[in-house]
Formats: sequence, structure tokens, C-alpha cells
Amino acid sequence: MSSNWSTVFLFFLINSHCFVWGIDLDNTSDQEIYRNILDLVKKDKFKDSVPYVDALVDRLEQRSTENPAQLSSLYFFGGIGYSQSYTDQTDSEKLEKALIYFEKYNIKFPDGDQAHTCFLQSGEILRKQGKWLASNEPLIRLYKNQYLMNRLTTVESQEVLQQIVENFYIVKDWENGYPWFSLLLKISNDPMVQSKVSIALLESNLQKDDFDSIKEWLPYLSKKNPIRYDIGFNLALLNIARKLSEKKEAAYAAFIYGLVIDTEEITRYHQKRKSELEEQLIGLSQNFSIDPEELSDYEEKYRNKIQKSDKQLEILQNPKSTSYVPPYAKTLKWLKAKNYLAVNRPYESFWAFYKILEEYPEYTTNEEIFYSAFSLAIKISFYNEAEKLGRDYLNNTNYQEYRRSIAVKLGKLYIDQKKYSKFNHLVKLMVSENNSDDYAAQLISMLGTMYLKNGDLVAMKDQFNYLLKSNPNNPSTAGCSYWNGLAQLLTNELNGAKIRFQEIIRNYPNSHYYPEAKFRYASIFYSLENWEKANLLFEEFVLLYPETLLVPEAESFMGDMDARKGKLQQALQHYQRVKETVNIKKNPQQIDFIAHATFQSAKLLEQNRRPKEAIQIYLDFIEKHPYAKCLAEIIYSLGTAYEKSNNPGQMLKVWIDAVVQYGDDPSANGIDRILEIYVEKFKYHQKKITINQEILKKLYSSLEERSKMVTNGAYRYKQFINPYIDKDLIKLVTHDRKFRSQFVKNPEILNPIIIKYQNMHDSFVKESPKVTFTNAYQKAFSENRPTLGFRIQMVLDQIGELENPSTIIFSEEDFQVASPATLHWMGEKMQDIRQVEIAKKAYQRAITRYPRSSIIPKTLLALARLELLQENLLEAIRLFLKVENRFPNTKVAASAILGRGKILLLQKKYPQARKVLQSILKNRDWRGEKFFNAQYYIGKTHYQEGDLQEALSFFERVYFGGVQFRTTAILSLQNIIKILLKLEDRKRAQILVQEFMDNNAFFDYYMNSMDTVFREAYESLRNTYNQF
Amino acid sequence: MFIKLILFLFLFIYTIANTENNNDFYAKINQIKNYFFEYGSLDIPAYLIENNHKKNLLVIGRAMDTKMGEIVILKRLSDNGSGQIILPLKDGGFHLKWIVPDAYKKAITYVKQSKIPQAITLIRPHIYPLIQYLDINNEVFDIQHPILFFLKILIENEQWEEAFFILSKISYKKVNPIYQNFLFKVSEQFITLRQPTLAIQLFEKVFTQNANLQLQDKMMDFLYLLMLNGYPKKSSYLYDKIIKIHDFHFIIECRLWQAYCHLKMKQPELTRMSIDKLGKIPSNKKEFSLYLFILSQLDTLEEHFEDAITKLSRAIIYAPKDSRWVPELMYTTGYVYQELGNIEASNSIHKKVTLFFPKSFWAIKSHQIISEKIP
Repeated sequence: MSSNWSTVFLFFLINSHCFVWGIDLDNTSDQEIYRNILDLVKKDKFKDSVPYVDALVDRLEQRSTENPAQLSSLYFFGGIGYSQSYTDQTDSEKLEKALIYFEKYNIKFPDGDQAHTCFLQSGEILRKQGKWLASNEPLIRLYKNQYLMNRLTTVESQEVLQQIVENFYIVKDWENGYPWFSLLLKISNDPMVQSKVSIALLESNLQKDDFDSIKEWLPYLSKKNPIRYDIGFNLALLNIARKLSEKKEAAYAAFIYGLVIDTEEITRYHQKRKSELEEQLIGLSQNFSIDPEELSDYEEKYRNKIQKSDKQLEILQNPKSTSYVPPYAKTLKWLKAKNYLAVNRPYESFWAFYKILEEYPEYTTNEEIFYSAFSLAIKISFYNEAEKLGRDYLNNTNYQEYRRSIAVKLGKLYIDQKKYSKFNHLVKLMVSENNSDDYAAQLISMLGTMYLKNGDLVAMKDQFNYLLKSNPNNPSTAGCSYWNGLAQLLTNELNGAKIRFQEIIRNYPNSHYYPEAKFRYASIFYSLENWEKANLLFEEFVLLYPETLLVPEAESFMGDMDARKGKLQQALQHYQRVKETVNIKKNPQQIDFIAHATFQSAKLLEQNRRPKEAIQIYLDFIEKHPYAKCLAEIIYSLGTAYEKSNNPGQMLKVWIDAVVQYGDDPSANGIDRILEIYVEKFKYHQKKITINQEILKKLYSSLEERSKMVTNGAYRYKQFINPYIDKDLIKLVTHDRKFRSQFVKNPEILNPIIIKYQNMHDSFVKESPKVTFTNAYQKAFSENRPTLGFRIQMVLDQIGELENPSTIIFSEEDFQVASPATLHWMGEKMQDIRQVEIAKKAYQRAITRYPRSSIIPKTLLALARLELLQENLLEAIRLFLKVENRFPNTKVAASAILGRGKILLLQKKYPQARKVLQSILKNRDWRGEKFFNAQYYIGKTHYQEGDLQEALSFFERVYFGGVQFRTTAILSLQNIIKILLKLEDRKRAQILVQEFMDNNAFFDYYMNSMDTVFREAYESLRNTYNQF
Repeated sequence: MFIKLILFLFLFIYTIANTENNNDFYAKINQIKNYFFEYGSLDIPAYLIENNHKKNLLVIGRAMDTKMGEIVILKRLSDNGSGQIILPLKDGGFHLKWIVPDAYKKAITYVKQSKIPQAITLIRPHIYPLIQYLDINNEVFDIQHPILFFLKILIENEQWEEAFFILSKISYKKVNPIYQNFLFKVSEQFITLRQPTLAIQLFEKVFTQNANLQLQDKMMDFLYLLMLNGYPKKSSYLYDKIIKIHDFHFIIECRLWQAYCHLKMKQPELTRMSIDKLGKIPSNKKEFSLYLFILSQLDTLEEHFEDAITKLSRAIIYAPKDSRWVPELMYTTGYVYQELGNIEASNSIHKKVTLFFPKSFWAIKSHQIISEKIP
């Protein structure tokens, strides 16, 4: 905005008449002074003219008749003069005086020839005084005066606007500045100006929380131009981005962060730019194509640019500089990394953090970055990176702030990844740090839980033992003792466990393991069946720690103990306490305790012939916990309670209602249990009601009959041999003297029983199971409830009411919705039609998806047999062993042992096979078919080894001892005949075959059975008989 | 001299005849040829500066002298047009200064007033005579600026064919490197106009075994654009060519792009093989980001979007500033986020592409995606 002073001088010179120098002011006329002033102005000595100007202005202003033209010139000269004085002396008073002159001019001569200059000068002075908003007053007045603005060039008028904008920007007057910012952006074509003004507009938008407008300015900010490399510009951007982040406008913040250039890059830019400009400046003088007149202008421009770069470098590189900006590259990267997360880009966020750690490994302030990267890595499943970061963090002992959190998260990661040895190593590391804060505590707890979950109790015991020994008197000792004790407790090493818990009770009363140790200590006495002591300890525990989660369990233990001791009322009270102490909202998993208490108390009541109260308990549970997982089980038990209260109709009704209501939930085990016995129960009770009603009718109506029943024991016995006859009736008629004495004469005495059966009859289900299930089946499929549909289809198949049962084929898709019992049935069905692989998939699905279902032992067995059938011997053995280990001493375990024995026989490992099979013979509970089967196969092992006598003895034991098990018996006989013939005892063989052929039981079985093994053996023996 | 001109024209026409069968292009080129015939041999007013004295002359041609080699022939105006000055080029040592015609000054005014077609028409007769002297050092004959100015306004006015005509006459070893910028700009335009042969023709004009880093970088940009516009085969072939440049800075990047070309040619197995052949690129290499990006493209092709985003996100963070693949990388990331159902991230990235790379191939695609999402 340099005014062309020569034009100004000319103007005044034209209006002047004479020039005199050296005047005594007091004795000099106005005209003379004025001439002097003009003379000085002509010589560009505005500064020197100031005293004359002041004097003359004084004189003229005091007079009423002013010379306006002269006064306007004087104001102008005075303003310029004082301005120049200020430049030289940095005297603020001068500046103030200059301002007064310019303002006077503008007030008195607003359209004067120099009005525009005076406005500009006023603005300039006020800016120098730091009065930014005041500066805008003359500038805006000028800008709004079109008449004056016409005197300025386009560039000059744009500069006025820029100054106005700058002033508003400096004082951060976003509201008043906004229209000016917008105006400048609209007018200017200079990308640098556009960028600068966009910053101001952004700030304005931020101030007003007007985020949608931000996007309008972004294109101006992203344009490539030198201002992008201005440190001030970038700091402003960074500040805006931060503010946006704070205001949760991460998406916009992301754009702005993207625009910020870091200090290192700005430095590089200016270093390069400076050297290029310097090179170009040298080249400029050698450029012949440039007019020498223009050369200096060019050079000046280059020097200015170099100076700007120098200034930027000073700010960036000189820490002593007042405007020094320390490097913010790392901070910027950090902010960007955080912002990525805020815009839902966790992957980029992670890598951004990760890269900071790579780039700045030596920084001590990396803790938070480590933690952010580590946490994110876990969140986005970058487990390898998480492991690395976690390890690196923990290996640096200077890092403390996130130590506990990282250790715990890393531990959890190891467990989830099944990297148990790494987890163990981590626990050892953390325990060995021996930190008084005991930040290893949570890890120890996790380690214990991990072992418990994996069922690896031996390792659990050993590991905690190791930790105890290697870190004596450590803050973690209590924890290690507890878990070691628990492992011992669970492996039935009760004494060892007792010692550990005692240690905690004695030495660590402040440990958070203390209450649990007390609880476990009590439970040891429970296991030792020292119920008195156990009860005492549990009572004490409940009193001391009424708020702990273990209270329901303690009450449950006490209830169980009282139940065993026959203290019904006390047991019921404890079970009631269980229900009261569980906070189901806070600890939903404790529903199991409530369920246990419900089952136990209801059973107790049932056993004590209080079925109605038992029913009420079940109904209470159903009402309070309608979404409990075990609901179907509860309803199953409710049904049995109804049965015991002589209401089988209600039993069947609640059952079928439960089937319809919960049958589409494949995990509802109770439904499978109900369906397993529903038909059987229906038939049983239907028959029972009919038979009892018949006999009661006969007894009621016939005196003779009643008389015979009382007097003729044999007759009575014959009448009551039917298992369906009411037990109470039998008891009364057989043993109750009072009853018997009245019974013959007074049939009315039968009325209570008759009414009971009449009620049972009236309330009994009227529909047959076929109708009930057929209707339910159709409804299930019409309502698209496939799980229920398949369940009912299974029942219909089992009762022989399924149409074309052999044509059913199931797919893997069906398996997805099937319940465990249905899956087992599906497997069998597929096996029937030789779809072995599909059958296997059904079994496998049941085993893996529902490992706790009651059908699983049978399913495992079926799968093992299938593998055996396919000669996958190793897999079959594995599965048999699984059954044996998971369900020891059960019938399925016997079947599994038998299966394994058979495999060993096939593998010709006879001694091993015998050893396995003999384990069946040792178990008294397994007397029966399995027992004889085992003997048969032992016989086979001897036979294969050529020990015919031994083999014969085993086969004979089976044939003669287990004749009721027809197939095993006939196979044994076949072997006996073979051996006898080999031993050349033809006669005995002949006798045995003859006896066999005479045995009608075998013949009947042959005629009626579809057992192909039996039939083939029978036919073979018949041929032998014919040959004899 | 005339023979030389004819020969030059013949060669040029032959070259053009072997380019795309594009009638429009030929029509325009024929017109431009006329300019050349009309103005190409006009004398050029100039000063010869000798001992700080200016001699007013006309530059009338250049020729090959058996003794002096290449010469510039000048005509003295002061000698009533009869005297000639012959200046041998190999010695240099003289300074010819182009006398700026009024038309040129007026043309500048036109340009300021956005009247570019008028400016072009006005100065065309003054520019064509200069073209044959372009290979002469600017200090010897200062005609580089007017030709650059003319090229600039031709490009601004999208007169690609005429720009092509002029650029194809330049010997790039001798001229200001700024001409390379124009060449790449025009050749890239021909790629987008689906005339890759013309583009490659221009590209080969600047190809040299001794290309400096800046030129190598521009070549890489060019080949990338060629591939993007559906010519991966040609691109791959040229990558093989430029990789032999002396002291080539982009060997690994070149190989990676070649692998990517296979993918563009629907041969993902070849891409994988090529990448495997390169071995794992460490994260501190500038090509690491590109390496991840190309691997992610294989994942994307197989719809393994989770795997893809793992690589893409890292590629974004590890991409060196201003890498040529960043717009595509960001676009692809936006696409993959969308496939993963993270619409927020996808939108944000596409907006960023349009904002930060408004002139890129990918900004248009990102813009389309954003527009499609707005109901």
C-alpha cells in the first residue's frame, strides 16, 4: 500500500505560490508558514514540517474562517510527518498525533482527495498500536465507500480487505469477521490468500459448531501452494483439528489432520526452497532475456522469498527464538492415530501407533502409545502384534503405568490362543517381579481358572507349587497357595488342600483369597463327611461374609448336609436361603444354585410325601425364572411331582405344553427327556387307570369278590400280581386290619380310591400320543419350528406312527437345528439306510455342540461303533476310551470296554483284550448281558490262541448261564460245538445240539426275531443237527 | 534446407500414419501441418548481441556446412537485405535475442482476459518459425519461453493434437526439462483419450538411458496411468524397458507394478509368483506400502476382505508421502471397508480421495461412490 507521494507533492505545488526558508513562527504569517511547509514537503521532509504544521493548524482551527483546502493539506502533512517521526524514533506519542491528524482529515474531509490515504494510514497506525478492531473502523469505512475505493487499484482494494480480515482473525472475532472472510474468499484468486482465509472461516464455523460448512473450505486448504508450508498456517490447522476432535467431529478432524504438514517436512521444504531460490537469484543476473530494468524487481522478489524461508527456518530450528516451534511430527502422528480410531478405522489406528513405536523407539513417553497399540491389536485380532507389543512393554521395567493392564490382557490373549506355556512364562515373570502392588494377582487368578477350565488339575497343582517354592514370601503367595489348595481339593488330596487353606487363614488374613480359603476349608470337611465341622465352618463363613458370592453355595452345602441327615426343615430353610442370597441380576450364572435348591427341596418334599408343596416349588421357579436354561428340566420334574400326587393327566399336560412352548430350543435338554418317556408314561397310566377302575368296580359291586379277596390269600395274590394295581389298594386289602374288617360288608370304604381313579380318569389326556404328536408335528412345520418338528418326528418314529420312516433322509442343514437326542436319532436313521458319513456327522454334531447332554454317552458309543464298523480302529478306540473316562462305572462304559476288547481281539492282541474284558467281570453293577458278552469274547481270545479247554469253559458259562441273552448264547453254543468236534467229543456235541433244537424258547425267538446274527447261527446249528 | 524440411515432414507424416486410426486426429494434424507449411519457414526478427551492441537481423534458417558443421544463417537488415551472417552452432559464443513481436504482447493480454483461442491464433505465426531452433541453447537463442508459453496455452485450451505436433519435434536431450512436463501432460491426456500409441510415441521421445531421478519418476507416473487406463500389457512391456535405465531408482517398484499388471490382465497367479519372486519387502523400504497394497488386491479378488483390510490399513500408514499409489490405495481401502460394512470409514476415505487427490483417476470413482450413496 505504498502511496505515490510524488503525485501528492505535485498537487500541493500547483496550489502554492512562493517558497521561503527560515522563519520565526511567532512573527510569521500563515502564508509564510504554509510556504515553508510546502517547501519542506517538496523535499520529502515531512518530519521537519511537523512544528510548522502544528503551529499553523492551531492558528487556523482557532479562527472561525478556515481555509479548508489549506487545512486539509495540513492535516495530511501532519499525519505523514508524525508517521515518519514514528518510524525513526519509535515514539508512540508521535504515532498518536499522526492518527489524530488522519482522523481529523477523515472527519472534516471525508471525500477529500487524500481521504482514502488517510483512512488507510489510520488503519495502519492502529494496527501498529495493536488496536486491531479499532483499525478495522477506518478500513471498513473506506472499503464501504465506493467513491473512495474507485481511487484504488484492484490489488490495493484487495489488500484493504485482507487487512480487515487479518484484524478480525487476530482478535478471533469470528462472528463479525465471518462476512469479511467470505467476501475475501469470493474475491481472491490467490491460492495463498484462499488458504489463509479458509482457516479463518473454519475457526468461525468451529465457534458456531457449524460443522457442515467446514467441507466448503477444505478444497481451498488442500490446494498446493507455499502457504501450506507455513508453520503458522500448519499450527492453526493443527489447532483446528484438535478442537474438532474435542468436539467429537472426528471425520472433519481427519481431513484437517491430513492437511497438516509436520515440522520436519516444513523444514526440509524451506531448506530446499531457500537453496533453489538462491540459485535462481544468481541465475537471474545471467539471464539475458530479462529486461535490466525489471531485474532488480525480480531480485527483490526473490530476496523476499528467501527471507520468508529464513524466518520459517528460524522458527523451526532455533530454540532460542521467541517464536520457536518445537517439532510436532510425533504428536501429529499420535493425534492422527487416535483420530483414526474415532472415525472407526481401527486398523489404520493400530498401524499408526505401531509405526510411531518403530520410528521413535527411544522415546520414554511411549508408554501410552504402547498401551494404545497393544489394546487395539487385541481389539482387531492382530494377535501376533499384540503379543510382541505386550512382551516389549513388559520387558521394559521402566514402564509401569499400564503394567498390570497389559500383563492381564496379554495373559488373557495367551489363554484364548491356547498358548499356555507362554502364559505360564508370563505369570512367572510377573510373580518374580515381586511388586508390592501384587499386579500378578489377576494373572494368578487367570492361571488358576485356566487350569480349572481345562481340567488340568495335576499341572495346576504342580505349577502353583513351583511358583510358591521359587518365590517365597512374595505378594502372590496367598494366591498361589489358594490355587494349589484348590487343585489338591479337586484331586481329592484333601489333607494337602487343608494345609494350603490353613496357611492362608493363618498368615494372610488381609488377602482377598482369605474368604475363599475359609470357604474351601469348610468344603474339605464336607468332602470328608465331617458334617458337623463343615456345617460349623459354613455357618461361620455365612455370618462373616454375608455379601460374598459364595454364600449361596455355602447355603447349598448346608442344605445338602441337612438333607442327608434327614433334617428336612433345616434343609428346606437352607435351600430357601440359597434362593434369597442369589442376586440373579448381578450374577445370572448363579441360577444354577437356585435350580439346585429347587430340585433338592422339591425332591425332599416328594420323598416325604408332600408332592403338592414340591409342585408349588417348581411352579414358583417357573414363574420367577421363565427364561432359565434349565426350565424344561424343571418342567420335567414338575411333571413327575404331579405324577406322584396322583395326577398323571396334569403331568402329561404340562409336559406336552412344555414341548410345544420350548421344543424349538435345541439346547432344552428337559424336552428331550420328556419326549423320551411321554408315550411310555401315557400308556402306563392309561392302562393303570383302566385296570384299577375295573378291579375297583368289581370289588365294589361284588360281595363275593370282596370276601374272596379277604379270605383267600392265593386268590388275592393272583388278582394283585398285576403290576398296575394300585399300591395303596394292595396295602389296604392285604395288611390293613381295620380296612379288611369293614371291606367285605361295606364297599363304600373303597370310595376314596374309586374317586381318586375317577379323578385321574377325568383329568387324563384324552388324545392318544399319535394324535397329540401328529398335530404338534404339523403345527411345528407350519410355524417353521424345525427343531420341534424333528423332535416330534423322532417320537412318531419311535412309536411307529411315522409315514414311510425308511425314506427319511437328513441333511447337514437339518443337523444345525436338531436337539442332541434328535441328532442321535438322526444318526441312527442314517445308519439304518447306510448313509454312514452323514450319520457320523449327526453324532459328531451332538457331541461337539451339546457335550453336556445326557444322550452324549450313547452318542459317543454309537459313533465309536460306527468307526469300528468302518474299521477305523484307532478312532474307535479313542472314542471308547473317551466314554470310559468321562462316564466311568456306567453301563455305557461297560459297552465301551466291550467295544475296545473286541478291537483288541480283531488286532489279535489277545492278552490285552482279555485284560480289558475282565474289567467288566469285576464290576458287580455290570452283571447281565455285558457280563456274558465279555465272557464270550474272552472265550474267543482263548479259542484264537488255541487254548480250547479254556475257551470251552467260557463259552459254556455263557451258554448255560446267560441263556436269556439269546444271541450271545447261540454264538457260544456254535463255538462249543466247534470245539467239541475238534476235541472229537462228537457225542456231547450231538447231545447239546439235540437239546438246543428241543428248546422252544430258542425256536420262538428264531421265529419272531429279526436278529440276523441269531437267525444265521440258528440255521447253521439246524444244519449241524441234520448232519448229525 | 528445404530438403531437410521436406524430409522432416515426411518422417512426421509417416509416424502419424502409423498411429491410431483416428480420423478426427488426422484431420486436426492435417490442419496443423498447414500451419507448419505456412509459418514454419518464416524469417525471425532478432538481435545479435555483440560487444554490448545490438544488431538488428533476421534469422532465416539453419543448415549443415561441411566445414563449420551446423550453422545458423542470419540476414543483415542494415545491408539492404543482401548481407548474410553465418554463425556456427558448435562454437556457440554468440547471443541471439528474439525481438518480441507486438502480437506476442497482445497475446499475453488476451490470456489474462481468458481469451486463449485468440491468443493462440495471434501468436501462432510467430511461434512456428521458432520450432526448428528449439534445440539451440536458450543462451544462444532465447526462444524457449515463447514456445513454452505457446505450449502452455495450447494445453490450457485442450488443443492436444497441436501440442503433440510441437512436442514430437523436440529433441529432449537439448531443451529445458520443463518441456518434459508438457510432454507428460499431453501424453497422459492421450492415454485418457484412449490413444495409447500416441502417448507411448511421445513417451519414447523422452526415454533415455541416462534419465535423471525426476524423469524416472515421471516415467513411472506415466506407466502407472497407462496401466490404470486399461493397457497393462503395454505398461508391463515398458516397465521392462525403463528398468534398464542407468542408475534406476525404482527397480522394486517397477517389479511390483509389473506384478500388478498381471492382476489387471486377470492373471492373479502370475502376480503372486512375481511377488514371491521379489521376496518379502521389509517395512522400512519405501515400496513396502505398495507391496502390501498389491497383496491386498489379491485378497480383495478372493473376497478375503478381512485379510485385505489388514494389509491396506498398514499400506496407508506406511505409504511415503506423495506416493503415486496412495489415491488408489485409499480408494481400495474405502471399497473394502464398504464390503466389511463399515460405511462410516468408507465414506470418510472416499471423501478424502476427492479432497486430496481431486485430479486423480480415483477421485472420479470415489466421487461416484459418494454420489450413489446420497439418496
